[in-house]
Amino acid sequence: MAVYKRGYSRYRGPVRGRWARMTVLPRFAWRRLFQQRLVVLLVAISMIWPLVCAFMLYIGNNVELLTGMRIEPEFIGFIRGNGQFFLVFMSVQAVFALFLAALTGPGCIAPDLANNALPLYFSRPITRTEYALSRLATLSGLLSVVSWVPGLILFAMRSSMAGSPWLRENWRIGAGLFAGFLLWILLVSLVALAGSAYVRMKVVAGGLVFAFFFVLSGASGIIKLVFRSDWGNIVNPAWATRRIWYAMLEIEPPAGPGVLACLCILAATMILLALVLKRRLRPVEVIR
Amino acid sequence: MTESKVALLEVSKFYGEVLGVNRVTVEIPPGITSLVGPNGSGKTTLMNLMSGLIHPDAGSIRMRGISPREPERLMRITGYATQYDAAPRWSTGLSFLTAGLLLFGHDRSEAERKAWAALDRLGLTDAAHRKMAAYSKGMRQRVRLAQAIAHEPEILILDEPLNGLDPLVRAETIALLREWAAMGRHVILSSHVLQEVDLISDQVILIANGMIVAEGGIRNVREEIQEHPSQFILRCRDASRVAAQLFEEDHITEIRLNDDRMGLLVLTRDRERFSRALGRIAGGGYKIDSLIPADENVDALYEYLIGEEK
Amino acid sequence: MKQLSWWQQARTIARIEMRRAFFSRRAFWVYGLALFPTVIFLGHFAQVKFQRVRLSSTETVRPALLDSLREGETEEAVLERLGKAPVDYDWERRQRILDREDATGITTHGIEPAVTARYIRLNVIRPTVTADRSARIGEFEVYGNSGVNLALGRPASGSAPCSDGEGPEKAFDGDPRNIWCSGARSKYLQVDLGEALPVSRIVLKHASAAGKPKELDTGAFSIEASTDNRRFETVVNLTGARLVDEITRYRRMSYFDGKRRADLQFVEGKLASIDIEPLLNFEEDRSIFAGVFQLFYLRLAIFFGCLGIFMNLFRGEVLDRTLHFWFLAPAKREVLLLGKYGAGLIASVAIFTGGALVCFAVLMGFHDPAEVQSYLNGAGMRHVFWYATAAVMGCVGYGSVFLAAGLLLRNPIIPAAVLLGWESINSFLPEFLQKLSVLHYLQSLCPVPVPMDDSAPGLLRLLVAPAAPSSRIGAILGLILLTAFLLSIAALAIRRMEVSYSTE
Repeated sequence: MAVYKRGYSRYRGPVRGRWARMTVLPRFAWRRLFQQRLVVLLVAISMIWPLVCAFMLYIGNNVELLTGMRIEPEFIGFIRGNGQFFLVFMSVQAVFALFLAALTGPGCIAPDLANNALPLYFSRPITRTEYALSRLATLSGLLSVVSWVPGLILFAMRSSMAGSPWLRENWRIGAGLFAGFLLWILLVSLVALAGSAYVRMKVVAGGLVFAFFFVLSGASGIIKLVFRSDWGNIVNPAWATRRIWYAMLEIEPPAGPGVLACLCILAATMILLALVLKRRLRPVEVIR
Repeated sequence: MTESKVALLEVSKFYGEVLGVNRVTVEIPPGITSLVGPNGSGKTTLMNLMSGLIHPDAGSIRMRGISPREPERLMRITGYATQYDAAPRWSTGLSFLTAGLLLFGHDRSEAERKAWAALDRLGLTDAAHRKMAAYSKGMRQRVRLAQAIAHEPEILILDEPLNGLDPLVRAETIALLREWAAMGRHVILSSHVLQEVDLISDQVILIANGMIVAEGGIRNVREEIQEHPSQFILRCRDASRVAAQLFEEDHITEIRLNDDRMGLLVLTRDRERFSRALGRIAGGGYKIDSLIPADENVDALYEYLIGEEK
Repeated sequence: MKQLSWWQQARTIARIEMRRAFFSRRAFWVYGLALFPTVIFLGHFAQVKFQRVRLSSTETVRPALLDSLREGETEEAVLERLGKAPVDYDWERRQRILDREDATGITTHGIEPAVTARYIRLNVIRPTVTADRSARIGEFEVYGNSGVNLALGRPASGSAPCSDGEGPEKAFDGDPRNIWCSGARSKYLQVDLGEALPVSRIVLKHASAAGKPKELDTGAFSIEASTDNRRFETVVNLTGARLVDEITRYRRMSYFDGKRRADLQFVEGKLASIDIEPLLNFEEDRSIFAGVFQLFYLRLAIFFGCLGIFMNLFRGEVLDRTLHFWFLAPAKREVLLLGKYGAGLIASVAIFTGGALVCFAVLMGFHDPAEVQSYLNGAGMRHVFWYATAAVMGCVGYGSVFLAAGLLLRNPIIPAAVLLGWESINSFLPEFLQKLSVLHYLQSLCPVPVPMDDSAPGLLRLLVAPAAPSSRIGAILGLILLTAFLLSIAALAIRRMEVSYSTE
């Protein structure tokens, strides 16, 4: 009798579902990430601003002192927590999210490519799409911790202090905060993943994330300068995202391209990045 | 005289808190010398130390009188084929070798000629114009060897050079190394394939846990190991009678009879007396067909010296 | 085989490396960075050309005629003098505004026939005529047949107020200065008269009656009445506060005199604004180039380009596991360093200085040759020289920083990010700290200051103008010293460097 017929028997127990299997990669990745001191440090620093905002909200909504002082009503509205307040919150946290993505994103895919580990993944029941999605989930999960999670907590704080009528009228701010952050997280994660798939080297990929946003912002600057027009801003994905936030939070928008144009350009950017990812995630590379 | 040797004196290297090599003192004469030892014993460390890629924390190294701290002098006469399976993706085999040779002072045509010669020696002429990223593992191994020999160095250091080569190329490479050694050059290589080490090496250095366990010619090393009785295989017609005779000698520790009753495995503590006893037995009319030492090979040495330490 | 001197060896190493620096796929992005501004300028000039073609569809006018235009002239007069305009379109703007006669901010609405109702409700449809979305009512008075305000002091309800002191009851307290304000989505104000009473007149005192600006008066609203607080009947409709449609007619005409474009805007047939700009302004374009050079080339292109090129020289080789091939070459390690630095420098200087000069040349190519020639004869060549020098010194400085960082540090991106941040906030730092930056010296070398119109925020102005620029020679010396210092540290590091590729 052949050897395998004697001793080997296949596992016949319960098998976890497809989606549960996809969570394996993020779980291990998160564990690994939070073992890095720099990541923990950066996440901790990212929590400072939400704490400051919470303090401001508390002061603004609870201390009667304010009505005594002669402060501009707009500022009172701001410090009580209106759309403008949350916009400032989102802008600061978005920068931290960018730094975090630049720090952790490259480690997601680049080492797999550099060490030729993709065949190991794809010889198991995981497709390229699932692999990419699980890496995206890893990054998104991490970035959520510093973005919409504290944001929604702040919003809940504001609602509880202002009462349900305020919530009924302003629930859009909460929804806008959530959706706006999701948009930013998606963009930044795709940039980090596509960058790390494109250059294969962790170190360079981190730089690429910064370069993407800084260089495009500079490019939009010179387009505005040379063409003497505000439409240069469309080339700047950070500006486009912010413009969409203005609309979501129902604040007076700045001059320049409108929401629709910004949405189109962001969608096009994300599709392009996804295509780069698709092209680079190949287990076999043919060199001619 | 030491100017023609590769000499390491009390060389130690720490990797953090781990000792890579521990007070290694060895003098390597010209010829083929093999470094033999288990994984992690310090073979690659020694080779990296000799070529100057890493620096010793203690001790001194002199490669034919030149210190590895002077790469501009040492690398002229040294060629090192590492075990790192990496080659610049961006170049072809020919351009890679040519670029290296340009730094020796050759002009472009001369450098190309030498590069081509080296590639020819290792059978890579067909792939010379292909990008190295497209090479198979064996081809990458060969191009590393070619890069090491292209400038005809006096000292050749090869880390597992026969790894990944098919039998034909293996044989050709061994012939190349023999030829090299015959010219009075140093060939220092490391290997796991003990039969080959046996076949080609003039001397062997056994290393374990960063320390030299034994060095010298294989037979000399074997003779120095007293704890293990020497093993001999005897082929003779009247095996059991011969065995009975041998048992009377007190230096014999064990005799095993072969299944076909025509051969014996004899373990003896004293080779001199054994050979004399054998002479007497042969003189007594018993026909002895052949006598082969069974453990004068690196395999046995390895097992005796290193295998036991585990 | 001859022995090469260290200088010849460095040159050989540089030549080998340069091939990779210039022709690898990575270099493609560096070229892109360097040539991007040129593409933008070309686009701009294409746009100008298109404009010129469009404006030349009719005969050009004499320059003197353009200068003779005065505000207040009628369309017909202009058309007669200057002829048909190549660009001519008009449009209307409709605006619903409050009738200007209503100065008091109080509106009265008669209800005929009178209704009997207990609950009177005001629904605000358009809170103001501006973007302010809060509705404000000073007083809401309900009259029957007598002159008594039936709603005074009655229980009131309404949509969520703007703040605590502006609740619905304030509209029924008899004092128009205490206003009801609501920013809710659907704004309403309701009073309970206590019992069903005949109602024939409603008076509203809007924001301006309470002393607020007129623009905050309610734009459109409706009033409903009910007896049971369930079924409401509209008694006063949208047209409530007297809103009128104000139609303003605009017309825009553009003329061209061969060099300058005149944009004329007419409001209601009269010339309201005259905007004469040359189609191509050489001085303005040069100033814009200065901005492009400082903001894009120095801060971004050269920074990131050098980051890519120089970091690759050593850190890239370590990551690719090919560095040991260089260490096994018969060359001193310092010579290796020099050769690689030289290769990176030559490549980056060629690409970025070349890119900047090409951009400048493109800029000059589109302007009047005579103007360009006189510029070049004057300050032009000096400017070109200093631009080139600034680009070269940028490559020298950033190159040495990133080369050293790549050698000394495991993850050189972190110091690169720190440097980027440091240079961004450079202007806010005290003077002695400002000197610790490559960009500070580079800015001192730029010949032309960056254009700043007054509308630019002070922040931006700070970012581009060095507070106390160093002298040019001092800047060059400073950068050279910095480079020498960094390269010597790098030389020490490379001598001690050990090759043992761990898993990254």
